[in-house]
Amino acid sequence: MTTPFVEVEHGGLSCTIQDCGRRGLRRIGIPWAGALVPHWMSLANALVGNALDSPVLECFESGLTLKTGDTAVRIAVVGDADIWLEPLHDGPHTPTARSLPAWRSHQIPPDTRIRIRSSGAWRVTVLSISGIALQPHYGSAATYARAALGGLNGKPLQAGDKIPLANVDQAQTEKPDLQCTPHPEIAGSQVDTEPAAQQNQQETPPVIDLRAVPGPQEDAFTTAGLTCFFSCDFILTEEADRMGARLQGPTIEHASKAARDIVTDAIIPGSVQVPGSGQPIAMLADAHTAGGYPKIATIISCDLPKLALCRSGQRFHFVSVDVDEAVNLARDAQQTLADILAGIVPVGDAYVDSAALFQQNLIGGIFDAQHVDWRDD
Amino acid sequence: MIVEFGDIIDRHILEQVAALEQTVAQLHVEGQLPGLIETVPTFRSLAIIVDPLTTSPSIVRKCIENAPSTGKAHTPDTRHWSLPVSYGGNDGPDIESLSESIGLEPAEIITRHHQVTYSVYMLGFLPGYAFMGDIDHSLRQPRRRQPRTRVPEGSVAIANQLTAVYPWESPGGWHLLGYCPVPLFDNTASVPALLAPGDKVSFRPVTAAEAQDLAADLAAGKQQSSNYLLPS
Repeated sequence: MTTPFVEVEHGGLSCTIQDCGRRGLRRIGIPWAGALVPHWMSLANALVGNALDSPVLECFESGLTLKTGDTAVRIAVVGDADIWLEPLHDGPHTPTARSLPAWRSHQIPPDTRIRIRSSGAWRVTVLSISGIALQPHYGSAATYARAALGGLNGKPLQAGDKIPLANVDQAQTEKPDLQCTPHPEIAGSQVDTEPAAQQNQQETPPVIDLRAVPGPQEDAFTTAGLTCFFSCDFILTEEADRMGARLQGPTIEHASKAARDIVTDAIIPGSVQVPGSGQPIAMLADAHTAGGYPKIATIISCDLPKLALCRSGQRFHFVSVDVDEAVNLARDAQQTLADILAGIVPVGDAYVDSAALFQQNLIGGIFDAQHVDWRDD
Repeated sequence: MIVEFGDIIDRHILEQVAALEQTVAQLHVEGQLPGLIETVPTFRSLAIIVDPLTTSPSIVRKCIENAPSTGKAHTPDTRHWSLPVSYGGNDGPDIESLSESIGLEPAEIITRHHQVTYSVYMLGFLPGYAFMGDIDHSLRQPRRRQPRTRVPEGSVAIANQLTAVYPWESPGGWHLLGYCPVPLFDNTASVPALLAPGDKVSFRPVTAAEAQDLAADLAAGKQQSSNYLLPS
């Protein structure tokens, strides 16, 4: 019997396999990598019955097209995404093309094409596959393409890649699909869940707070520079990838010309570097390990996904917190995740009322409740 | 959390960073630092990365402050590498311009570069990229005004007081002196980076043809990177 798999038909741009990332190798220059939105990874995995830290597929606007092989698989999509299914071959039992909601799992028949496009407010979509079985590479399956680590051959997903799955347990297949209420607060409570189309065009989109601990090189900036950083709005530019995001705003003033370049210091995801231009660069999951620009602050880990999720043009406001507050906020965020995981219920449970379904539609932004088959299994 | 020791490249600071890293590692082994994720030594500081769900920087700080100081890092198992380098010509395209700017003959530049045994100060910038020093005072020059968009893999380069070998093709602003055929990063090895902080490195001049032969042998598995480790 061959290993079951899901095949990649179109990898889109930079769709990668990610998990919690690899730790312990920054001292030899190897970044963590790992999911940009770790809580979405956990949630997507919980919905398909995987261990919470199993590898998931992380894709951006350009989307992803997969096809199932000769076995049925269970998937879940977390994010603001359009999902279409279509049969690869016509047959007496194959359903016609249809769209599916996110924030729940779906049993996908064999020989079916699955298209996923992120559609709404967020840049990132996470897809989990039940039983995904990848060998860890230095402790993690996270793809870090610059050093050919993790994923499939260390590369972003490409057409023809076969994602291996463990042999499907029949008992697992018979379990009902699971769903959760969409929880935008996983990405940050300030994220507005209204679909863009429903917002007044004239109205400026809400500013999102990013909480950050000042330093470690706050002395490389003037008082005016620090005040500017924590009081002005900064706009996310198009220069954003898994490594970092450039922001644009008023020039942050360095204490001196010499302070613009420091002797190389450690960098972690969340570090906000300010090079000579005075415009901040916030580092994300693929952050390199060391660099020579002074760092004005470190964005706290539970707020970092907000930056990773938003599209260019989003305005951000940095809020200063101290280390103890940052620790408490990280623990609160973990508790929020635990609550959400505890609220996962089988699809069709009486617990889910129609109001919740409409809420889900609203957030998905594209689904018409009347045409979505909620009980298709 | 970052423990800063200074903001210059200085052997004394590096020793303090190494000593603190050793203290932290010892505490971790003794089970006194639950939630420690990893440490990252740099020229100026030690980054101590902890899991806020398990511990907090203030707990870690107290634990480290109460630990007996090891004073100076002991490095009983310092590894010493001897890496072959083909200097000059196409392999070291910046030797001529360097010769003009510092007023030394190319042969003299090569001699002064390989007669020093270097210490690996830290890794970073690229996976496996080792910052080594110190180079001879007469060779010190700021980075090129125009960084190259493409520095070939294996390039041996210098800038200011440091020297390094590029483990990957990448953009770079250092002055290229030669080519080292030994891969500094192998993503199939148990530890993918050849060099580690604290290692000693010497460079041994070889001809361009020898370097090409060595590269072919290494790629074919007829030679291993570990062959370049000197017996301790």
